[in-house]
Amino acid sequence: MDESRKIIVDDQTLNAVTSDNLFEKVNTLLKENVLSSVEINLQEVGFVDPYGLVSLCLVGRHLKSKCGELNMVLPNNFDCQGYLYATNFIPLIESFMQVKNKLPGVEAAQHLAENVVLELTKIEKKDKEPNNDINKILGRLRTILQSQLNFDEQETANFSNLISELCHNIKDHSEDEGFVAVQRYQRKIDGKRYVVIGVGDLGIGIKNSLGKRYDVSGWSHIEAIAQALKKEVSAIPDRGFGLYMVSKITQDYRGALHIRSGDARLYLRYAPRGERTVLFPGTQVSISLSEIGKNN
Amino acid sequence: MLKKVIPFIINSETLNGRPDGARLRDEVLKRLEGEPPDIVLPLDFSKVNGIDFSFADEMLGRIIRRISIGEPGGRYIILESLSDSVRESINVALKERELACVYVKPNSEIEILGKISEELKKTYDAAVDKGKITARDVLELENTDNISISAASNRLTRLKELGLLIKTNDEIVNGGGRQYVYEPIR
Repeated sequence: MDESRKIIVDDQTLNAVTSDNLFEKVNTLLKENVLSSVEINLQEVGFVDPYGLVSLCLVGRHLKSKCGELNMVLPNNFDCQGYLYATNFIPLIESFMQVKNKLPGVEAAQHLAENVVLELTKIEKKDKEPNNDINKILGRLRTILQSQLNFDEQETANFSNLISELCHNIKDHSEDEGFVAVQRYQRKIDGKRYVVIGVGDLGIGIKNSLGKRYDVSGWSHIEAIAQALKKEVSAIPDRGFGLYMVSKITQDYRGALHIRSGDARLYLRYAPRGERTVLFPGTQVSISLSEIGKNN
Repeated sequence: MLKKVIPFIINSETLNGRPDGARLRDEVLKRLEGEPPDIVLPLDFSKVNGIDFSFADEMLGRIIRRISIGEPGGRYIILESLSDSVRESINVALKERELACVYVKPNSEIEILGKISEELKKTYDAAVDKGKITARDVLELENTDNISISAASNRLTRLKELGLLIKTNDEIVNGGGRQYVYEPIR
């Protein structure tokens, strides 16, 4: 029997941790009937970070492939909805779902764009677009980092490297397309500035990717993620630079790295911590850096 | 004596990922193979604003490893006109692979990018100052009895393996015997 279903996001904040609640609701829904339409309700959401943006896009794509009609009800919070416009989230998702509850005047709220470092951007599959999309991202990013955020050359190089390596991992290993977004924040409590990067795809995941070269039959997803962070561990021989360098740069800037793949997440800040979580396709990464751009 | 040829100019503003790296690596190797032996090919990065580690690893890392095993023989590279961020990415990428490369700055000052020990750096700098170097020169440089002629020779061999020195000829020494003479890549 065809059914219409709702996913109500009751977390006020959508980030690397709370997105798992959303994934769990999606999984529960997909176990049920054939779905004629699904509604993702964000009315109670007040804050979405770049990882949350990417997760919402991935959830949308995942559901769209399995149901007839997909709708999203936008947040009631004006600033949050304005942020979704400013980060290119709404224009991007309107290409594959109906968007409801648009608040008057929110599209014109330009002040909400001032902390967007990189708006939500699609990374195409390798066979569709080998490299130019990433080149454009890095070109734009470089301009913003230096002219608006006053990053010095070393910071620009390191930050650009982070984004480049993460985006290339999608192209080279995921067998899928993906999304990336970057946002700058300032903590109210102490005025400290920090940058958050969100990257993700619905691809084959880290364990399956490494399984092309290693015998991963005895590995958990946590172990696969931990292995992927080691130098020279890669599905492709003579590589293995990407996630290793991502992890190294994050630590150099005393940041926090969160990688979710399969049914596991690995959180790396000072010392690694892994835990099981809900199973969801692909790989999603969140990085928070507070020691970069200190002079801005 | 090594001859510096017309630079290979890299004509892109932003280079990232292994596909870009592989493409440019193949172009550089093709250019090297087309040159006669005993040359140094400068790689000019003046038009490049940014590169990532994977690009540097795929392009430079692999070229340097090929040169270190003598392919193509007698042809070497140096780097020119690096922006700070390009220099940083290359330095990090080469360090991670324990490789090294000569960077000739606009003021002609030479910097070794990548991984090199203090002793090897000192030996290379001496080779640049003198224009050539032998194992006996290394002994004099150290001015101590703590290094043997064999250890001095090993240093020069290591620098040759890193692609920073080339063995040019051998010469007769006082008291008989022969010693190898090395020239710096620059």
